[in-house]
Amino acid sequence: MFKKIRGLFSSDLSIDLGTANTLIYVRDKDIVLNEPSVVAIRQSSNGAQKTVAAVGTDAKRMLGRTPGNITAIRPMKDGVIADFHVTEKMLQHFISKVHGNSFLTPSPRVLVCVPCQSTQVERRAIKESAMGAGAREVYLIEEPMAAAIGAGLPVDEANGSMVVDIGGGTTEIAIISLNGIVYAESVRVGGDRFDEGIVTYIRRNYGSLIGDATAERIKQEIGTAYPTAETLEIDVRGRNLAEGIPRSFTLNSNEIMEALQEPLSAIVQSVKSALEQCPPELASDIAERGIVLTGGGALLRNLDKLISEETGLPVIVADDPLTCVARGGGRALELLDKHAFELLTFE
Amino acid sequence: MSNEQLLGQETEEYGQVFPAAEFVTAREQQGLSVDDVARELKLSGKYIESLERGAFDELPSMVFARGYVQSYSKLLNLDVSRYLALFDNLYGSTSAGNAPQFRTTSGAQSTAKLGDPVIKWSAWIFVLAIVAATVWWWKIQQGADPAISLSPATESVEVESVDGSTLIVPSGLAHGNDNQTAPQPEINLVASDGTELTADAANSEVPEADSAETSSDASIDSSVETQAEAEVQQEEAPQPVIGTDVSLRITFTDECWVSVEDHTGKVLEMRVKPGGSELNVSGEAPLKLLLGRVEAVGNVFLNGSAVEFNRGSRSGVVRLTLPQSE
Repeated sequence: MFKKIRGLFSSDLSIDLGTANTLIYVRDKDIVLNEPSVVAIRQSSNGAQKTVAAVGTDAKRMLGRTPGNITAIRPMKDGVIADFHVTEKMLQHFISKVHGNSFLTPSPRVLVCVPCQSTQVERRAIKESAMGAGAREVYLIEEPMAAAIGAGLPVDEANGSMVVDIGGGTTEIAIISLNGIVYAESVRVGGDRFDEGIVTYIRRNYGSLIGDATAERIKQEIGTAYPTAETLEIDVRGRNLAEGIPRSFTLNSNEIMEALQEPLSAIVQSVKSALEQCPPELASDIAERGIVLTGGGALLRNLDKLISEETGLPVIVADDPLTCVARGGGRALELLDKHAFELLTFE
Repeated sequence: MSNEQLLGQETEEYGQVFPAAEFVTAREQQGLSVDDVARELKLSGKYIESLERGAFDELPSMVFARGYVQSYSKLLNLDVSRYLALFDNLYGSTSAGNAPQFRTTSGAQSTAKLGDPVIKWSAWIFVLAIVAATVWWWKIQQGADPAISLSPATESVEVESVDGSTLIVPSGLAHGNDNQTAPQPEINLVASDGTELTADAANSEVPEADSAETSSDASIDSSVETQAEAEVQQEEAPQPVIGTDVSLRITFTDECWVSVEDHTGKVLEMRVKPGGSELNVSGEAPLKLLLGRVEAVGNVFLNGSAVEFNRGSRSGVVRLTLPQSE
């Protein structure tokens, strides 16, 4: 009863609970929150009490730079919850942040995007943690579906659309027609694996150790998936493993492309296998129109070019790929009272 | 300033036509044919031609049209962001989230949503009204309470005593919250005329008195032959002089056990007094006096004046409440 009253003061939310970033779309508004999924936890001196020190951007700045009593952790791993309680705290923080300084604790209806091949247990964990964070009702939608809606694809038509959503932890590939998923695949390769690839490459070739944050910066600034005419360069500082002293060195985009080969080929392989599994009618639709890339991974330079060359199909990058999933979820939420139920999964 | 840039600026100014012809110019400058471009972009030649004519409605959907514009301009080394901005200006952003016109056509706005300001404010007003009503009700309750809580002190109870006269007594006394404070006038009386009579205590109704105290059947039992036989328990309304200090003086002719309690139940004196001694006690009235051996008691003086009481107890024990009621 009280939850319902509080619900009157809450807006419906669509949450893209990603491995790297959490985005919240407020119904009838826009993306209002886009923060890293990181929580910093402070342990009291006697070790008994744990409190949340920072969430989001502030916490991300602490990653890899924390003293003994603070741990900055990423509660999501491979698109699913790795630490239930921390996820709950993070969601709680984000939901109240979205609602501003409300007199009442918000109790919104929440739509959460889940990886399409997550298990029932993982879905339940996401649902429970959203409930624990104060949601009145929780709906789940499969990520590629939300991504396709968010990208503006005509999902309700009797035409095949293929969407590749490259997130932080997972890459979701789906072929959608008539509001339904015909084929979906989820590979646990994403932006994090790109970073890991860069760290490994630098350790092997330069004998230096860099952190995840630096690797991410390298990826964003000079990372490319396909050889380009111009070569970009970046200066990086890392700890030399042999000397144990920080050293500076210069990397170029071709080296990074080499470093990214392993995760990129995994993505290309799964796109190819999705096309293999696809019914021929839909395959011809896709061949004619092309594949749509969404998610943060789509921002990697020339990734569309790589996939296009590998598959021989046109590939386009969606408008504002980072927020596609959250916007698509929001769109589904707007249609929730009418006919979007077929888009959602209810467990 | 080149031709293309001029053309582009015009389009930006008028915002009506997409400068698709720039693609043709750029393509021809680079010596590419439509087929080359189609092969490079993996698109059909038909789509490329539509694109170059600016006939985006011939393409599968606006999302793809935008994507093709992006790929084409990238291939021709043109300013991708400029063309995308132009495209978005003309046809609106293709993504679902920032397409307000999409919502109006779907009619989703017609249904009132929970976050609707009107509902929000009316809910606030409703909650405030409930709060105000609760406060008002509580005030009323508060206003009524003192009357109730005061009444025990001020309310008087009419008590009909044995002799038929009516006493008006504060009910707080008759009430007696606990047995110690409650005056329990138990007076042994011997009727002077010696007739035996029984009076029901019900006659001396004390409406609010505890049943244990009121239930006693006040019996006046007396006979001439067996003096001190009569043990009368008379439920008598106590004096209106509660809390006033009185002094008590008792003289003893022989050894006697005596106990004096004040009205709160505080024991003032409890001991055996030797013969020929005196007991002087002062305390808050009414005082409860218990004399263990009435024959040994000489005189009892309350505030200097002698108190007459019935000495005819069979057991020799006399209980008195002083000052005595008439």
